[in-house]
Amino acid sequence: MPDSPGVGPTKALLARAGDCWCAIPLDDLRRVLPAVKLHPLPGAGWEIAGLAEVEGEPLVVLNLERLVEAPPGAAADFPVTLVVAAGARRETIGLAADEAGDIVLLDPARASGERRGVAAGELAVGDRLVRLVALGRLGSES
Amino acid sequence: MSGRWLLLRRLDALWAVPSAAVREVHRGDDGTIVTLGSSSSLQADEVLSMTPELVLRGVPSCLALQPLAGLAVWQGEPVLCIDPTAALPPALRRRAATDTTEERDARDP
Repeated sequence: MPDSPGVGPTKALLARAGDCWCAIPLDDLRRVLPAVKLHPLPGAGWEIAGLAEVEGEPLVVLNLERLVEAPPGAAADFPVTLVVAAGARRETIGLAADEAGDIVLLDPARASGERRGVAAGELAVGDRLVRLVALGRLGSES
Repeated sequence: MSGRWLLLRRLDALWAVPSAAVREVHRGDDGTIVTLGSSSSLQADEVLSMTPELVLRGVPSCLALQPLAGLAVWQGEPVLCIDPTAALPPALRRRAATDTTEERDARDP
């Protein structure tokens, strides 16, 4: 959806990753969980925070800060996990974040600037500049 | 993939190997070695137990992960389930003097 500008305003959850605020479209959001215990995934890419167990199911958890190529903030302990649908097949993954904020209405078509990782651009939300997260791009970002 | 699984720990992660693919488990000078029917062998820090069938979930295809049979959960902990017909994940390969950078990175990320 965020890759298809022109669909009009959409609701998104603001989430902080390090010093960067991101907007996760609610269409992609499944659940917001408190911190989950992360287990290592040896040999995985740097964007992967680890593996978790959520209600008896395995969940691969990615580091949102790295996913949107945000400047590194303070060492994170990931107090929030966002369970989302990602990739072309809308598979369930987790995003480790530092804070979940408000739900806002924004227009993806107004996102501008350089694409960074799965961030499709930036747009102003109130007095914040947020990175619009386009999870459909995961696995195909360049 | 069905049947029992051998659970082992390596680099603080929990791994599972289909028991049907396991030919031998022995302790060597360089730790516990699990030899597979395919004659490949893998390194374990600890062999935990055999477990009945695990419920496998797919690895998200949008992530560039090593080839695996799938993911599962055992006693509340996520498990990386190995496909014995595919190349072993670098983290499980036996230590050797000729380790590649990739293998070293997998063990010491």
